[in-house]
Amino acid sequence: MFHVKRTLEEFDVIVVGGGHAGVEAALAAARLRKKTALVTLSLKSIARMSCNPSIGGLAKGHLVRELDALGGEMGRAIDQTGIQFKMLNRSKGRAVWSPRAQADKRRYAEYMQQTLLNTNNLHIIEGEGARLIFSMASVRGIYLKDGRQIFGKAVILTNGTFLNGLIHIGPIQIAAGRYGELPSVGLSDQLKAEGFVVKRLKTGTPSRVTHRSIDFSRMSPQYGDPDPEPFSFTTSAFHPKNIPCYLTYTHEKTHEIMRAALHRSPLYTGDIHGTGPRYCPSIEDKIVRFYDKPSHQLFLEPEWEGSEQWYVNGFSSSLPIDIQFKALRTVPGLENAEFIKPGYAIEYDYLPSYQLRHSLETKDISGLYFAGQINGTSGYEEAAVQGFMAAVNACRALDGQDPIIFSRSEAYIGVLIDDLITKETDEPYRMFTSLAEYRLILRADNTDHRLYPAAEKIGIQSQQMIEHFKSSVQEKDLIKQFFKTASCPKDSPLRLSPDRTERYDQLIKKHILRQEHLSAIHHTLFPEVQFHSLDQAFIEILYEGYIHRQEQMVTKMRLLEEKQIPEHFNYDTVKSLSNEGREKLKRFRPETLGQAGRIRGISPSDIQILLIYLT
Amino acid sequence: MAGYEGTIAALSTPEGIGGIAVVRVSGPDAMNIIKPCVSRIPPEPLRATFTSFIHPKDKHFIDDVVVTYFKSPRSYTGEDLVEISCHGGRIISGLILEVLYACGARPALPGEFSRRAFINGKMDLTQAEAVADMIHAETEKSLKAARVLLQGRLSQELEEIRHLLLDAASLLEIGLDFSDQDIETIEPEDIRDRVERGLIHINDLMTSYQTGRILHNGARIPIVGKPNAGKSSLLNAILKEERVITSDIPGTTRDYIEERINHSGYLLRLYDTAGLRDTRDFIELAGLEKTKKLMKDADLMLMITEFPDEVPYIAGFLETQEIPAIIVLNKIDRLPEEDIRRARSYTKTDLPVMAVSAQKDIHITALMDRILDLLKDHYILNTETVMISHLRHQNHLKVAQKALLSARHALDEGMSPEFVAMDIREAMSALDDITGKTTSPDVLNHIFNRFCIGK
Ligand SMILES: Nc1nc2c(ncn2[C@@H]2O[C@H](COP(=O)(O)OP(=O)(O)OP(=O)(O)O)[C@@H](O)[C@H]2O)c(=O)[nH]1
Ligand SMILES: [Mg+2]
Repeated sequence: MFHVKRTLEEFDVIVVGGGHAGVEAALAAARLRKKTALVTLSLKSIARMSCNPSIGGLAKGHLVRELDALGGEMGRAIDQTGIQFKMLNRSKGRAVWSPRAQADKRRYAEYMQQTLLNTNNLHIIEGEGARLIFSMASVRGIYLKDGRQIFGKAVILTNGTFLNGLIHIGPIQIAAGRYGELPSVGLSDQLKAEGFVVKRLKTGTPSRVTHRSIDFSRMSPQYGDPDPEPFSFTTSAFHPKNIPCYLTYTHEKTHEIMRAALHRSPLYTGDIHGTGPRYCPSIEDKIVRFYDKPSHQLFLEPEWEGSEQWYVNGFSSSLPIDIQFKALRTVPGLENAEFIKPGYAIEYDYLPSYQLRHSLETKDISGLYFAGQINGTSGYEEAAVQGFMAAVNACRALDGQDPIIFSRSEAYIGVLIDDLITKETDEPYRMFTSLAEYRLILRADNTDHRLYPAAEKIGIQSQQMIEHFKSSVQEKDLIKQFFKTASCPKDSPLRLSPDRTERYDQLIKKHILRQEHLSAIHHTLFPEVQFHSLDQAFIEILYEGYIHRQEQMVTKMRLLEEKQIPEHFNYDTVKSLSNEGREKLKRFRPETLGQAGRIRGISPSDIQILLIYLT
Repeated sequence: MAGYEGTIAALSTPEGIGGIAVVRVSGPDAMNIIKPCVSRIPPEPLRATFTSFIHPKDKHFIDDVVVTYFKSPRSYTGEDLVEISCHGGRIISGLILEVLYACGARPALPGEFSRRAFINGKMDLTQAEAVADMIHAETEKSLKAARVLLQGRLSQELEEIRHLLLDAASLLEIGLDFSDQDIETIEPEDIRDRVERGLIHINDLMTSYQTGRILHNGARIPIVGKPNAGKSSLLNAILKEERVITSDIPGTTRDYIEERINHSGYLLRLYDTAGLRDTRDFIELAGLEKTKKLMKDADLMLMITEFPDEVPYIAGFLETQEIPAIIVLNKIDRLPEEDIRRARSYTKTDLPVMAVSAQKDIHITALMDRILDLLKDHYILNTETVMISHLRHQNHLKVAQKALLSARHALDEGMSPEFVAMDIREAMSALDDITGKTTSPDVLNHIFNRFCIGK
């Protein structure tokens, strides 16, 4: 279904950009039976991982699992193509366990491309989006650079780092969207002219070295879990590869070389204007900020199975090429490293997301949606969930339905989008578990239980899976009921309480019945239920007190969260608002009082006054 | 928001006779309302302008006044505000207000000036409460305590605790969200240390509640004893007037009576209670519901008897109580010297026996001094330190304390950091509730309803 149409054609949804946001957006829209166009520079670049070869990770793993429950593709794709799977934070509580996988970049992209090609209603158009077509305050389509016009009722922009992308390597600057790929210019100027605020951000990527030049004997191999868990609920019979990464360290010599050349880094010469992320700093940032730290860890990661190209995780840099190479060659195992690509920093345009509604539609132009890095986020997972939600809401709008908006207590997706819209991001936004105030409820292990009603409403997830989710919830409730009423006999083969009979929930709370006993309990007591249901019952009982407290907090916040602010509310009529508060409210135009309260610069008294006003 | 808008005006000095009265006008139209009423318009903000106040319709002269214009946001309320100082007395200020109301201002609701100041971010909730306290302050000491609040010192103190907790929370989050990076491992001791320090701070503030309450609301001192012991007489003697009925018929006082006095700047609330018949057992005496409650809430107790032989029984009872107390042996005017000496021999430092005569006013001043000494011994009545004087503050502190205790428990149990983090966040949000960061409108209304018009 590979179309290149030169004629005028009308689509329901046009997705611009074939990155991780674009892919999920196009799939979601097409699966909702909307005639969908995906505009991408080339078919081959679709779903490319331009930075690290991995999916998931702390909090990001949560996003992938949520997306999977809702019917997104990312979880299935990585389950099929990943080469190492690991549950992070396993030594901590269940709420912060996060799945992560090492990806085979090539197979991942191929998988996605095939999936797109096999999806009905989906048309891939190779070309570069140059200008949006507007009519009144609505979007009507897009002009391609080659002059083609594509008309559509909704347009989702997912341009990633391509908008006015500028790569920095030492003093060298290259206009590019990714290494070796042209940037997209013009679109952000047009948006600016339409009144959108456009700002700059920066991110970076490390150098790549050849496999044959690495001395792995001087590094320690890092394997995934021996009994890996898949991302997707739909994955069964999961026996992935377990290909190691390798750990090594920088040392004083490495730092010395870079320190001596700091003045040549565009970060310090002032050539880079965009703000970079504090959580994923470049190696030169690290040696400046943690100057007393004698070494930093580096992970050598294969970019695909049998890859000749290895990714040096932790060595992102925009220092001149000669310095990067010289410094890296001081690292144990990399003494003879051959370089395929240097690390670089890239600056790009993004549109601060207060210009969006929570549906990801722009506040001022109807039918125009933004998703992914264009909203100031970083990461494939953050991009993917936005792409999915933007498409779902675009389709719902076309059908005259209300958007699906997750609250902060329902999903990390809700936290992510709410943060984007109510907080001014001045560095690329990345998901963290600490950003979720209801973290104990929003676990990566219960996305099916949490989100099946939404998944059913959206209508992408298969009905069979939805039924599966529902029955698991029922099973969990029954098991919980059992645990709370039944006692474990003294002579139970589990030998949990040899001295006296005790109720199961008590045994769980006293840490006598532990995670490792679950499979035995599964076999002896509930062989017919899903193990997952038993696991959920166990977690909910174990953390009952805490979970209950979080649920109370959710209820407490509900008053503000549910208090709607009328769309065209005139803040000037509320005389007693503080000046800063009024200015911020006019700019952000929050949809609820809860959102308003999270905007920086809006004082509690502003919220109180609005509450009194709106009641 | 209906009912809280517009430009308001009210007399902001106490009503009645006085040298000068100040009328305040606050709101967006403050200047427009004033302009036609004065012969000279203040040329710039903060310049006191001497002018005549006239009726805008008939140009009738009302008074010579000084008008000062405070431009938003640099005013008490944060809005445009005009202060009119006129001659004292109810009549002139009344006339001026009448004119202002006719010109578009409306009478301010109780506390509305402060409410606006709060809403415009000119003060936080604890400061707003302090304004209310100052208005209601009955003694110099409670005024001082209110001033400390007004300076925002409580907020500062809370901010310090918040900082500690924020620190701890960040450390915990680092361990969770950056566990895949080689950032130094966070020692549980670093977290525990901050939690402990937070707890100590909070405990200090919670103990200061008693102090704050005594200074602000007064020390509660019930006078307890058998019928005819002279409770009512003692109260009269302290008040130096015949406030309550006394008689030689036992059981004269049926219900308790409260009287407030200002003693050396401290507010004392004395309660004359109904005596209990036919018993030498003071534990039973405490069984009387009302008296029992008074004794439970007391800051100091006066146990009165006319029989020296009863002193040991009372002393025995008091030893089981935590509240400071004085045993008052009354009617010494008709007791032999010998008996008095015997009774006084029970005196201990923290359980003094004072021999007095209520009727003949013997040693009453000494008793009063002793009351004050004892209060100062038991409660840190220092008005310069930060203290809380509101039950609302105390309740939020209790929530914060509970959350931190839970955090400490979670640390002891070696629980995963996200649980400790949750406790700490809960504690922080409770502290925010005190300063009003997340306060609900009911709390606000409750606070603002305590203000009087004009402040
Ligand atoms: N001689 C003498 N008589 C006193 C003294 N104090 C009180 N009385 C008398 O004792 C009697 C009782 O005094 P009250 O003050 O009414 O006693 P009360 O404890 O309030 O009594 P009830 O209210 O009935 O419980 C009155 O006739 C007082 O005049 C005192 O110091 N000396
Ligand atoms: Mg009496």
